[in-house]
Amino acid sequence: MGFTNKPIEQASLPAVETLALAPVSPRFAPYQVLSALAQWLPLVVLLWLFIPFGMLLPWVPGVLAMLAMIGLPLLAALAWIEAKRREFGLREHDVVYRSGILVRRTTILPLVRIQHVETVSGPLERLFDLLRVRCFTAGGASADLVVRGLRQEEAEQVRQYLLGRIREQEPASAGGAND
Amino acid sequence: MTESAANNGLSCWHRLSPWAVLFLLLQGSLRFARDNLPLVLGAGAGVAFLEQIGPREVAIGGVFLALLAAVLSLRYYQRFRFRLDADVLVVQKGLFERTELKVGAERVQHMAIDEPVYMRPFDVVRFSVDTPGGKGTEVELPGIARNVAEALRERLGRQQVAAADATEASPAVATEEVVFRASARGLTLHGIASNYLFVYLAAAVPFLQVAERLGREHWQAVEGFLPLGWVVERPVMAATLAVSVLVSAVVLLSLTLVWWRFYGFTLVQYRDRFTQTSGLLNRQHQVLTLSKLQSVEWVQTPVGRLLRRGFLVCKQYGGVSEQEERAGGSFLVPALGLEAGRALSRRFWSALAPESALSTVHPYYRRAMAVRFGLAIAACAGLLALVTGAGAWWWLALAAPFVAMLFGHLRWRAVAWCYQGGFVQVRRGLLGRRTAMFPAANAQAVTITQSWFQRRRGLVSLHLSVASGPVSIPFIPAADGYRIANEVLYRVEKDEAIAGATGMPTDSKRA
Repeated sequence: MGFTNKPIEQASLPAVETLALAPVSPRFAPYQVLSALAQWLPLVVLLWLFIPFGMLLPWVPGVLAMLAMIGLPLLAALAWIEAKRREFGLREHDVVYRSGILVRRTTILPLVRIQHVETVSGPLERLFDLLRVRCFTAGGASADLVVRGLRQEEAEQVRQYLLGRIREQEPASAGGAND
Repeated sequence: MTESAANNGLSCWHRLSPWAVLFLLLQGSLRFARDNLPLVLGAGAGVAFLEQIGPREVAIGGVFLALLAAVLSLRYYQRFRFRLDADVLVVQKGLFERTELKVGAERVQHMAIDEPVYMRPFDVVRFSVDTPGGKGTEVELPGIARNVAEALRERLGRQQVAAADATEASPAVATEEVVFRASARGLTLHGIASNYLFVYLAAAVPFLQVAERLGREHWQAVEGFLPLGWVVERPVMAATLAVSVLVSAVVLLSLTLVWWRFYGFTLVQYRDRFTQTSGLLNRQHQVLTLSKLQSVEWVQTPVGRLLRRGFLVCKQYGGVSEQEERAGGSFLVPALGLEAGRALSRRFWSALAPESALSTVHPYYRRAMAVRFGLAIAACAGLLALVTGAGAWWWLALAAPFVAMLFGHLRWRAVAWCYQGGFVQVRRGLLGRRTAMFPAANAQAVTITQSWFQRRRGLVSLHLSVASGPVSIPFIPAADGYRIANEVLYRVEKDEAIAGATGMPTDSKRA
């Protein structure tokens, strides 16, 4: 068979831009709010413990308190909205994940490129029954796609599905996929 | 021992050459000296420490360290052995911990044979193998007989050629053909154009501190040697002369290093395999298999653009930093003219049309870059002004918009892209240029980002992950971005679906 390079009919290709994705678990929003606030907690504690407020100008503690009163609810609201806008989808040949408020990021990872899949959860995530699915491809040191906000059961199903598809794609001579 | 005998005997356990003990000692000492040089010369702390403890103690410490290194090298040699089990290279090694490494021939993406000058009289070489998963060299045999190394290369490479023969895309070069040979003029121009000039200049800074200290200590001798009176009378001319001497010295150093590394550079193609041989005193043989090639980068430094010269970097699995590229960490073809660079790229992928009809990205990218850079400069300058109290930093903050606009414009002019015939080409840079070229089917993942600013103007940024590293096309029309994304995904998924149906292992899965 000789080398061919036929043009591709653009209209016939599946379109990423019109793809309808499913939102992640509703439990992800409260987790994300707590997670965002917890990141600032050490700084607040350090400020409280180590800054001798008597040495500061009299208006500084008030300003800091006001900043905290405005900033923390704003942070929580942004985390909530961001979590609500996360979407996830599995297609026949790839995984799609969308996130972000100001900058919307859509990542599409072809199933045939996945070399390794793992599920991870922190203590706070376990409290909300959530699990992260991390997909690795060849050549990368870190995960190429991290799907956050899936319920444990759902994440396990996704992992099993991905591993099954990887095994299907493996040539008969090669070994099985890692998990 | 002839090569065929070596080939047959590879299944037995082999030790390193006894000379390897000496080489390990030498290599370790050089590495130790190189790693600690900045500490001794740079901050001056090392020099001060050595002066503090006295020369006799330093000498005793040195002898003790040398003895310790000799014992450790001998022990390492005793515990190091290797053999070829069918098509699997097995290496057992370890000083305090036993390690067994196994590398299958089908997983080898890069092999290199180094012949440092001090190894040549003994006909001993250094053999190393990289695999797609490894960040650096996976297996290194630090001192083995040349015929054993060549037999190993032959046996491990045979599997790759057989795999390439099974695919129809392999080029029909059935006999060895010299594809490119670097000329003396080409190497000289490569040395002049090398970006490393600036690195050498930066590396020279610690020596200035030492020179200044020595100058102060031996002021009388310096006064007699240099016409300091003339320097005071004509400061501009003296400064020009000093800069000229410094630049000439750095250019000379750059040329020396380029000749050292690339002297006699020859690139030979045999079927799916490219072999490069180069080096003045340290002969290096590197092998690249076309089926493992992920992307090719055409690089032109600012001086290289003026001289119309550049070099090609052939990238396989795993990203390699720009420093590692030049230090031999990747398959680099130096001293190329514009036409030679294009011709060589086409030899890797015949359907590729290098740097043809590249389109610039949307002019909003220029504005976005200028705003980001301007804000960063202004913030830094403002912070420094507040901390130091020096008013000069405010002037920098005021100049920030103009510098940022220039930066944004240069950046925008450098970035260009093209998607044609199933190949993606993306150029980036500031004053220099780096053009990444790869088949769309080599993409690992596709990401599309759209900021609120881009959404209002119908633009997106497209990021393609290739196994050799990420490639981004910023600020292109959304329609183009989605079109390329859909087509790249189609090519990746269709290719692999066909390969899965026919049972033919594709390279990405073999990795």
